[in-house]
Amino acid sequence: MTEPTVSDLAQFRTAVRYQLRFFLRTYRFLTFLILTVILWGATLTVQLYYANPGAGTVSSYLSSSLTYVDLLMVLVAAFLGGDAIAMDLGSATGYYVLVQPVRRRVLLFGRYAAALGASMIILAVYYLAVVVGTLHFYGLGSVPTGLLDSFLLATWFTLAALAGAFLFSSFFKSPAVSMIATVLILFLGLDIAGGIASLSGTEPWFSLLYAGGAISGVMDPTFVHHTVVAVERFRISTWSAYPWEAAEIMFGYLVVGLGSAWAIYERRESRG
Amino acid sequence: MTSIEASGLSKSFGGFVALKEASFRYEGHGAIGYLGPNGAGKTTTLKLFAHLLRPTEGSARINGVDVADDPKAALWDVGTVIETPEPYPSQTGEEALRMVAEFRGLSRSQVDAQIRRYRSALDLPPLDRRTGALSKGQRQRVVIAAALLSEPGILLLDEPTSGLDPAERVAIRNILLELKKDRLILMSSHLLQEVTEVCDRVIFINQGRILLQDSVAGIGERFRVNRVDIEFRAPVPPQRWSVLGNLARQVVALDERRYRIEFDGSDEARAQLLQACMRVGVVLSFGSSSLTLEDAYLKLLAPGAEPPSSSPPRTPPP
Repeated sequence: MTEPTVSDLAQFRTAVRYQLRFFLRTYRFLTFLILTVILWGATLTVQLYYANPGAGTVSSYLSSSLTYVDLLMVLVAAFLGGDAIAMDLGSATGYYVLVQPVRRRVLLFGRYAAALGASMIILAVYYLAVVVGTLHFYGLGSVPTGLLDSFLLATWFTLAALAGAFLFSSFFKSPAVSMIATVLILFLGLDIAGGIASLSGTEPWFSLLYAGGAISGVMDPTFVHHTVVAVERFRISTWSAYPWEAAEIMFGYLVVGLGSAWAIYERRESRG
Repeated sequence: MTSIEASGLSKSFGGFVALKEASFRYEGHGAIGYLGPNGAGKTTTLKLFAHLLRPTEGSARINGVDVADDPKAALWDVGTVIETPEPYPSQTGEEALRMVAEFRGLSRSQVDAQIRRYRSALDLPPLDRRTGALSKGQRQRVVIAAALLSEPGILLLDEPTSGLDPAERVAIRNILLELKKDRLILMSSHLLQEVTEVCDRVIFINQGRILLQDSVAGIGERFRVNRVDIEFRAPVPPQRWSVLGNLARQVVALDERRYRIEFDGSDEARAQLLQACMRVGVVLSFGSSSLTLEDAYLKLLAPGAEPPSSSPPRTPPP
């Protein structure tokens, strides 16, 4: 009889390395990388030929360039994290991995770290492209330090979105169903719920996408937290999250999402 | 000393009882065959030992460690092949093996040596190919290699030769025969010939309940049934069999002139049977054969069958 000679930390590093390699080889990762470049190229084209960004401020340019980062990262999180747990419980991969002498929490956090690594590559490419655009239009030294705040918020947002994706992944057995459900809930569901809340005059503090608006909002020189527009007898509210408020919402998603995913993953069985 | 122990082990899925109070303990080395029809509870038992399921009641202990309490410690000395495991499809065979080896603390040189060893022993496919591109049999060999890589003292195998061709089965069987000399193997299989050749002891299970556990040789003793194959010079008219009286339990025609007769397994009964058969017709040959595992399996699992008196589980001989 022998005792385990490998620490959880060493096994975590192994899990991260092999899972990251797995993610980087998937078509979804390559697709998102290409999509990121296309998205940036389209934004740049519009700015070049229609918006004349050089005439405006660098902050407004950055704010408009970063408008869709949250949506992009929600999709990335859904497709990279949406099957992270379901792949063990809905396919034969679990019979290869889960029978190893590795604690499930080590596997879970290893996969989470790997998904974060892959997502950060896409996020970094996007921000790099934005920086290149800024330098092109406004010259050297034009990139404001506020862009770093935006990047940190985007990273925080990615952590939260992945935690949400891992949670939804723990509900389902089929990796495909899990990814689709994650997209529908995180992308469409929260967007619709946030819209309804705004219409009823309630701040959509529960929505990750609402918090994600701060990623570009932090660069917006005309930022307003709450505006009310009166249309005939209706009063329509529009809300934008403060950066600190957004960070709190994201933290909530991170803790609840990852904590719940952990609890569920520890209990799930391979009944297949 | 390595050991596996089920103690009142039960598993229910909603109202369905998949395993009911299974108890056994084996230690040391040897191979234990786990036999039963589909849905009997074999895979459920193995999954409980591999921490893929959690027991509803009772415990599964490996080397004295409760699997549900500390799966890492319990599974440290265990190699497992359950269902049809698949590494990540995008992993090459070598990556799939190295990942498992790293989880189990093997050094790079140890992994290299083990991969070289099993590459020839198991005739592994090209390990630079992605496992998703391998055939089922090729993938199964990679998975078996992964289970053996860290030289675990215990192997849990669920139909390990499923999906393999006859030559591959022979290779695996020979490896298991070698491994059981100093390891403990619990394997389920539908291939009774394989179990007969590999296993020292057998557990019969049906409908979630263990019916019988004993050595392969002891199974025949328990049923106390022997049989003979007899060949006559000419076909035997049915009325002639009355000569046998109570000597024969059952007569089965194998073809026009050859018959299989079951009788109580004493030498005296066999001698009387031969004399009686000589009155039935001209006997060309009279050969005895003992009960096979397949016969025991069919008798034990026949509808309404009563299991023979059970003895407490015993440890396989060293």
